[in-house]
Amino acid sequence: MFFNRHTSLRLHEEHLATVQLWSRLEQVIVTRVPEAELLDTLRRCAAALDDEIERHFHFEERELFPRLAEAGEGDIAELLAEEHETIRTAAQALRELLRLGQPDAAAMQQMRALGLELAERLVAHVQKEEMALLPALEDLLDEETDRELSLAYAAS
Amino acid sequence: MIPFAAGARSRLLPVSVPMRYFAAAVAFQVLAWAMLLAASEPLSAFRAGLGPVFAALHAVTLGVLAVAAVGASLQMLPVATRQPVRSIAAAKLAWWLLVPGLLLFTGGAAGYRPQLMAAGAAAAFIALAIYGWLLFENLRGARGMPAIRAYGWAALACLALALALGVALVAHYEFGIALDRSAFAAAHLVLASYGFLGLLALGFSSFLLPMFALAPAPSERGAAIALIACVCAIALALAAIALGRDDLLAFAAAAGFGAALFHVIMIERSLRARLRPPLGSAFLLVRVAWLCLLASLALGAALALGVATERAQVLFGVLLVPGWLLTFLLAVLQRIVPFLASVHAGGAGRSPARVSTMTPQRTLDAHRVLHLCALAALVVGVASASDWLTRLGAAIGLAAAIAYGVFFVAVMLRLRGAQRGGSPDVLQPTH
Repeated sequence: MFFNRHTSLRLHEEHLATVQLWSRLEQVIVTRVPEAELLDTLRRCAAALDDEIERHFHFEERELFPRLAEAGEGDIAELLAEEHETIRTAAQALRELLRLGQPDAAAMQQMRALGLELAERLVAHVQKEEMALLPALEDLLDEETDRELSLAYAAS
Repeated sequence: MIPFAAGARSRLLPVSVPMRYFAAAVAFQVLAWAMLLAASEPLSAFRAGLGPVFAALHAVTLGVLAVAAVGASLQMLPVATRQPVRSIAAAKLAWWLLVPGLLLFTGGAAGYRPQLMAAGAAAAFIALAIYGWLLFENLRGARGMPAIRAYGWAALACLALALALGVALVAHYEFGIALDRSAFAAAHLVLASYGFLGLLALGFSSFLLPMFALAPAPSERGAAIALIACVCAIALALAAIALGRDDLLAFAAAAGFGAALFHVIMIERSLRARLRPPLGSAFLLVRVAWLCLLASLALGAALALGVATERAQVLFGVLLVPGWLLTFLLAVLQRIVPFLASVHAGGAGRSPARVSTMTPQRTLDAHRVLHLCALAALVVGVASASDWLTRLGAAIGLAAAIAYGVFFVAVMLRLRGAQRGGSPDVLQPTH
């Protein structure tokens, strides 16, 4: 996919980083690395996800989904917003588990399952945004709006 | 939840529209393998003419491949072209004409009843004409992805010509209209298989396969070069058939081989740059399909030059239809169907479902093994003129088709369960 809008490009770059990070987590979980390494990777992923939820998700929900809906793509916008909510719920669950000082075997098992679930949900979400949202932005944003949005996003 | 959907006219079709096409394709696949198994005539002895083998062939090409291509392109093309489907009612009407029409057509062919075939062909013709209009309208207003749009236009042109030749052939069978049947049949084969279905498959590959693998899409320039080479090869093949020039036909097949190889290398390069290491089992089928595509073109050149035996004509058909087109379609559908189901499982306060929870993976694993065994048995059986081996291949193919049917039904049941408000799909900590 090739994007001409700064906003699309910026989101695309963040999508690539997300997929790389969570694919790495999947590998870490599947290859059964030592617990300390798994926890370290999970904490890095959770921190990155917090940032993504705070900036990336909020930006899309505030600035982009309403534009998508206005252009007649309301069900796609709603689908993406629902996925944000589900990811938020799963992220909150992961955060709670990571707050445990010394997680026992059951907690570790839950963290592995949550990590895999979040990886799948995030990757699928990225795929949908790459297919449906970013190409639509190429039509929805004129040059000036694109510049304003990308500057506002960079400053957030 | 943010209420965005009110009054939406989106590129996302109601789930029943693409799924009804996929369901019909899945059912036609079972029918096709069953007819091949039941045919008294050995597959390796098939040359032309009506009968169960002819009916099985068209149950695959029209019933499975064309029907699924219509369903897939109605849903996936709007994503690539940023244009919604012009009329959902027309998309539904096309299904209601196409599926009964094809049942009549294949039934008539199997029972040596050309008058039934003609009625079925008429219904299928109208259905495909409606689809052609929807495709035309979508491409006309399309934005973005110029190379994929160009594949769509080329496929549409091939569909129109293939339909015209198909109607002429049916008229020949029913009314005895004089025409060079073998030339018309050869041109129809080139336009329908390498043209309409093949170009749609290659065009969507440039967009879908990298998306499945989370890989960068191939360059627009590369995709355009592959398309130009394909179109030149098809045009050359048609000219060779019209002129009766076998040497030119062999050259066209060689040019097609070069174009297909270029496409495969382009997509493989793209896949090598993927962000996630596991490609998934569907890609094994994709690679087998590519191998069959290349082998069919190499064998096509050998046949045109007269250096292959007459039996190799059937082997060419096996490599082209179940080998390339069917295997590729089954690979792509096993990714699209659970993906679409997961998209439609959410909403109305339900959390969106994960693709993995929609995918009966063991059934797909069983299908993959069975389908590849069936293909191998058919190839070896036809090459060695072994009737029992080709029948064994048909029997395994039938088992594979049933396994694929089980996969499809399982996905639909999971979708229905999710839509009826199944348990929340997000793990919750118990601590």
